[in-house]
Amino acid sequence: MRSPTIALLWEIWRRHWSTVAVIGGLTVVGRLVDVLESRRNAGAESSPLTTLLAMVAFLLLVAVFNYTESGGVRGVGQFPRRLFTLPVTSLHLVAVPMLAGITSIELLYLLWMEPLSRDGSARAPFVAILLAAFVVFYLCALWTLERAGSLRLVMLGVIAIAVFAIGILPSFPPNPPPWWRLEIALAGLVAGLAVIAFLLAWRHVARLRDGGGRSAHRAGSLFNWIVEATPTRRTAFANPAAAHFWFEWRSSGMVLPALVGGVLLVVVIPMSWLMRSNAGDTFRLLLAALAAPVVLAVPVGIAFSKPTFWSEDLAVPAFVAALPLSSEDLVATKVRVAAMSAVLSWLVVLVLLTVWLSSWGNLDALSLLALQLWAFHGQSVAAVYGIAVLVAFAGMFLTWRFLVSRLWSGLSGRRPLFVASVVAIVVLVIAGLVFDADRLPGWLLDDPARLAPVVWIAAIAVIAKYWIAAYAWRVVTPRYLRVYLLIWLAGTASFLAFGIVVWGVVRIYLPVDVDRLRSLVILVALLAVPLARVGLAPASLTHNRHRS
Amino acid sequence: MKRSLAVMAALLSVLALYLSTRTQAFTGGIVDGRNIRMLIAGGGDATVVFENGAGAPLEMWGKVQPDVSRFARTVSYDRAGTGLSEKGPLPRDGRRIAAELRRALLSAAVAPPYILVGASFGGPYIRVFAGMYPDDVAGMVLVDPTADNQRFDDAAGVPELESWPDILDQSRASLVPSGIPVFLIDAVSPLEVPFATEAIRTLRMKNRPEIEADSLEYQRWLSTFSGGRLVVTNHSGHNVPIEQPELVVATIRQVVDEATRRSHR
Repeated sequence: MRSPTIALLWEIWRRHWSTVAVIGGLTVVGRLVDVLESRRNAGAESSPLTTLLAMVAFLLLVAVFNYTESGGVRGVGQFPRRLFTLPVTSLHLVAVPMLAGITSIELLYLLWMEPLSRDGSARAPFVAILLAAFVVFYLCALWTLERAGSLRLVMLGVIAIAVFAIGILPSFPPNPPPWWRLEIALAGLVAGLAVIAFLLAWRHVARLRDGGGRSAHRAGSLFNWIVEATPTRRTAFANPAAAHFWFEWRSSGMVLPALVGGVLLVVVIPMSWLMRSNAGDTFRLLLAALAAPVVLAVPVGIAFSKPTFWSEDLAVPAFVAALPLSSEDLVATKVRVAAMSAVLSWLVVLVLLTVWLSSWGNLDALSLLALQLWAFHGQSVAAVYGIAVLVAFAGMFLTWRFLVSRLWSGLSGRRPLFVASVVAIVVLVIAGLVFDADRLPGWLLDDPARLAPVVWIAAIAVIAKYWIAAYAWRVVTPRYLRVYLLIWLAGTASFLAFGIVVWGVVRIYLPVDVDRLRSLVILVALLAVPLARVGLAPASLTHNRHRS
Repeated sequence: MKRSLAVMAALLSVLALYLSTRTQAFTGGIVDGRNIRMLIAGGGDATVVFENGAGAPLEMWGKVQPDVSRFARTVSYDRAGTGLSEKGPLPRDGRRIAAELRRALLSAAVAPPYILVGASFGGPYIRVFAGMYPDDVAGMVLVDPTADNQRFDDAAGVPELESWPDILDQSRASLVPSGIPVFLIDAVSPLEVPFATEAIRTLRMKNRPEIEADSLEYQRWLSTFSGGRLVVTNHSGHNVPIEQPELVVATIRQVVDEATRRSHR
């Protein structure tokens, strides 16, 4: 190699050339799809498939510049320590991957700029600055927060959401926006923060290279002080199950409430302040806030279903495998942690919504909806409050459902099975985007006869689900079955009640075969709460636990 | 196999199969070769025909028709171009719609006399029908109908509203068949409602004069013939069949009873 810079760049290429090839392929396919779509429908927004391919390409690029190596006792990714021996300055070590990342993301944006800028109102230079700043924030967080362990991932999510939120700030009313929300002002702010982040990263790496130094000692002391100051359990656990519940809660249960709280605090609350004059926007934001726990539970649920939340290894850790608890106990603990996580996430949502709506929320649209529901249900105030409570309960069960529905594959230790169950949901999302899933209700309602096959498919799914459940639970002790059946009953009853309320309203306003619609609502409610899959989980875990 | 779950699976399988066979039986009325969706239910001596508000499908009677079907034969339908009925020729004025309804009823073997129930814009339509076919009408219930003095600034995306001046002219010109019971439900909306913000309260107060003007117009129209009665409710807004269905059912019951007594005389 002629220079250390080329050596560093060559190493990134050598490790990730196949991912770069995939990014190139996605870009070529995406642009071709866009060209074909544009010919067919000139002037239209880019198709969901094009947007999806762009998103995947950008995500893969971010993965390429995950410039860390696993190290330390916990195996957390950190700045590659082996590079400290290279004959280059620390500035060099920090700047090369950062500049390479910035150059790559700008190049990728250049290739995608035409279809992506067709939809949005943000100007290309502003987006380019945001993308460059994101790369700096991303690498800075990766390197400086290595001691934060699992919370680093949450921080990265918050950073991504914050950069996105800044990107859409200028588009909020009023138009033109105040000076501080102009693109140029925000670009300046973000660029300034990026420079600070770069300096922080440089300083951190330099100090690491010097063996820690005073700042590392101070940071360590501060970290220890925080750990000491936070409430810590000091009493003994009543039994091994209680100890394991505590362990599971600390390692995975807190993630969803933290993530939901982060998204609401960083995105929803600031946006609610900006949109406070518009009743329609307030209402849409309220719906987004209510959807947040459910939507976030899908990716969190994938990690939650594995034996160890933060590890890619699907094997049960020796520490857990050796616990004096049966596989049923371990699964029951996961199910309880998921329930607590869902309840806490919804409490976070409800508390923040109460603060927002009672303080600066524009309640006109919500008031209209409440009035319509009040009038629809015989002028009953109790009915409106009942529906609100039902929404919260159904939301909690839906959140919990996404956390536990993949335990059977995640705990099995069989990577192909787990990957297949994850891919299934990814394929479903992609199919939804490609085929414009939001048009499905309209398509179904255009002709009542179209509901018939959907109802039949749902009926077959119900029959299959409950017979598989009868088989799956055969090896589980009756005590667990009784408890879980109560949970299943409560969840199914919530979904059923919610579905009937929705059906009651929909049947009056839409031309539809109301009998078939009611059948569909009941069948979907019977499908919503997992029974067969949770029944399979203990056997999966047993297989995984004893395979070595 | 877990026996308790197997029993549950068997029961739920039966339920799933039963649910998948449940379907609503619509009748296809034919008008000039075009399909008109009708829902015919119940049985009895009297035949109650429901006329929807502008752009609304027959489902708007979903809280009324099942109860009325307990004491009368009932027919709700989608006018051509609304709900799931095929589009009809233009212009969509009152006389064309009344003629199409009559042909649809006859094609579905629903013989007169009819007790017509029209909500909102369905009110003017049933008045036109009664004026065109007086011998076919045994009674009328107008549920917070569009008043004769009403004006529409725009059609709000509802094609049939584009002919509103003609429809209201034809309605005004239609005579009510002599001696038949005619009930008009005037929904004046409650003054105080829960959940209302200041902006919503202001909006409701702003609409108040319009509601009062409609009430005066209803009284004026009912005074032009004998047998007309006004039923005022402040427990409902404009969507009476949805907000206070029991009042609509009770009023239809009264008209059915009076029409039956009249036919026996």
